[in-house]
Amino acid sequence: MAFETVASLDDIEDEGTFVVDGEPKIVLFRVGTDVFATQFFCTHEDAPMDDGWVGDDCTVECPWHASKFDLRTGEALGPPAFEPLQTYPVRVEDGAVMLDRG
Amino acid sequence: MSSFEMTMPYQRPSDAQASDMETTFRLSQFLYAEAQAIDERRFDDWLAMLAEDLHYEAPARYNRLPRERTKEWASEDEAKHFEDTKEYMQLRVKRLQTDKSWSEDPPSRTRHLITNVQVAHSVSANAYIVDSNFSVYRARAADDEEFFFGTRHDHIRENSSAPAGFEIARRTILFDQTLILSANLGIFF
Amino acid sequence: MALHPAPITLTPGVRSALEEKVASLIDSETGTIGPEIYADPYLHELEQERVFGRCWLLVAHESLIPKAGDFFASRMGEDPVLVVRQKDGSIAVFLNQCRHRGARLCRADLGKTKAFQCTYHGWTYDLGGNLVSISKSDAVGGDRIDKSEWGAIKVAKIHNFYGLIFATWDEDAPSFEDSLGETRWYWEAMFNRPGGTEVIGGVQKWEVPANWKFGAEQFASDIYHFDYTHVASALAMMPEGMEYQEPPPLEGRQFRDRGHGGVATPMVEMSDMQTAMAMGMEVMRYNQSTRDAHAKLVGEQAAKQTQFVHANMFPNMGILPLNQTLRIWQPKGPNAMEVWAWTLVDRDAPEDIKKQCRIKTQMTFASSGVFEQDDAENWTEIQRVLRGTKARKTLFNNMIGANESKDPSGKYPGRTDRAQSEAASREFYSWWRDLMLQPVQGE
Ligand code: FES
Ligand code: FES
Ligand SMILES: [Fe+2]
Repeated sequence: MAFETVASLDDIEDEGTFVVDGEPKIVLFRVGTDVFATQFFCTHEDAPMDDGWVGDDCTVECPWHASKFDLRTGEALGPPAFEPLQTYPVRVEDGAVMLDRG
Repeated sequence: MSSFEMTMPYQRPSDAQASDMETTFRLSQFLYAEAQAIDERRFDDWLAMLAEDLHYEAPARYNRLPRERTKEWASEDEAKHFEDTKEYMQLRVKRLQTDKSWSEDPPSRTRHLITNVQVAHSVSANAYIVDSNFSVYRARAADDEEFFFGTRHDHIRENSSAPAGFEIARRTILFDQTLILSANLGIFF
Repeated sequence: MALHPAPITLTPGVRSALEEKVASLIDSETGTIGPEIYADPYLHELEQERVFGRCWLLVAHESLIPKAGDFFASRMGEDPVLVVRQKDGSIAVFLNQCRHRGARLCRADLGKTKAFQCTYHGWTYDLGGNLVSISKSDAVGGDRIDKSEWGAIKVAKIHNFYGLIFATWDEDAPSFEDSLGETRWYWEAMFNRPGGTEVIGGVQKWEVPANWKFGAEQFASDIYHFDYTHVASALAMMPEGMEYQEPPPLEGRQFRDRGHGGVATPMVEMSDMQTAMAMGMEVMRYNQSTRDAHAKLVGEQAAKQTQFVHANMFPNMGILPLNQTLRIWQPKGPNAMEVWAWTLVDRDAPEDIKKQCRIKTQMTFASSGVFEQDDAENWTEIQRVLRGTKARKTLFNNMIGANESKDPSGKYPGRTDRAQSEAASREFYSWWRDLMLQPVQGE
């Protein structure tokens, strides 16, 4: 599928998040000038990942049970979550954040 | 750094160099003499061991969530159990010497056990950087007893005109309790 | 460390026996106190139910939790509560107890979080205390449990009074303002400051082996002790070259109503000198510089003609406006309290003024405070003597004061007596007695 512009970089605070509604619902995470995208709900017990703690090491920690995920791969880095988060390709061009929902 | 590691509430001078055996011995003896002056309530002698520009502090301490362990200690501009200059220390001593300071009537019988002394020297701070642990037993009246444990981080200067040859310029006291299990911190550490 | 007796569960029969006892222990007409109210574990339990289970209680200052997710682990009586800033800026207060098997939800004293996850079986609550996740729900049949019914127990009402956060467990509690009764003018004057107030970050906590009511009663009603209890510190703090003189009779009025009490004195040259001695010249000048703005908020009489000295908001919030200490007397069994103390400052004050306030307040009224120490000593010794049976049966005298009800000059509103009085103490105990005699919901 194709990349579509879903936000501008300025919409997202550094180490902040941004929700892209639609099917599927997606969260954008900003680390410096990089932006990552994952599924909205945690794979463990469905916590809303837009409420997670974004780390400058490209991780997000679940707001409920503190499992950490690698934002680049979605991999769960520690319990209680084991399933990876689904990730989505993102491009940042001229301050526009473009997402491919696949 | 693991987040389990304690973040200390003071900066150790980066040029601090471990001192030799003799210096370490002299500074240890100084700390013991200081403790003895306090335990024997010779507070004028004790004041003479404190520098004119003394900074004597004990930050409040908190239980924190794992992600906030670095904030275990009250920061520079937050609550402290002590934050005294020499003038304030003189005032505390003056109060005790009025014979009407009821919280020290009868006086506490304290025993300062000073251990784990480590001495370094810093050219930039122009002082010895002295770490020590304390356990202080406080007995008072009949069945009143309290225990204080903690560590101290001192800056101590050589001063030939001070009676003991040294003076304490800075002391940071780190209590091991968050809730101070005492009716008052009316003794010195 | 103080002795913490095991909690007691009261039954209706025991409660009515205790009511009879309470009624006989407090005589506010003549002014006597039966000191069993400070030492009896059964009365302590009834007090938890009927005083702390009903009154508006200070739980935090909003400056401790400025941003969404900031929390302060507080107490309401012996019950631990979490005070949490919500995403919409409001504040939630709920019991710090998991609804599954009752583990403490949060063991930190303060901080920032996104949710509260119980460490026992992982049940998770949002910032408002709502249960959002029953862990392993699918595997353990968690979907049979209605999460909306198993949130953390919330307080009935919350009120933000110029930055002070109060909460009550009582659905039927009067509004916070009504609960102040005729003392409202005084609290408004103390807390409605230009730009608002804040507390210096963190909190100082220490444990005094004495009943909480000794602190509360003294802050409500007792300037009388000052010249005796605190003489050593007063002597030590005399500026060089000044002679200690007999303190002049205290002008002003002691206010009282609905258990609250305190003292307001005329603002005269001497008041500024007192501030300068207690807090330093710079703070005194700063205070002077705020008076016009303060008068716009609370009027000339409150801002320019009155100096507030000490006060206790029933049951357990103490303040010394002059020394800028704000504290909660947290009960801890009948024989002990924890004092939780802050330095209260104007939010807009310059940083160096805040620093000076912090240092001076810590020096005078705090864990190592030179005045504080002597108060705690007296309270502790009262408590120790009360181990004796004879001592617990011996009435205390609470009769000092002229027992006036109106300020003849008309400057000080509400029910007031002369400044050196125990009228506010009699009010404190008679209000306490009235509450102890009225059942609360859920007994
Ligand atoms: S819901 Fe994310 S770790 Fe449990
Ligand atoms: S006690 Fe909290 S989840 Fe079981
Ligand atoms: Fe006092």
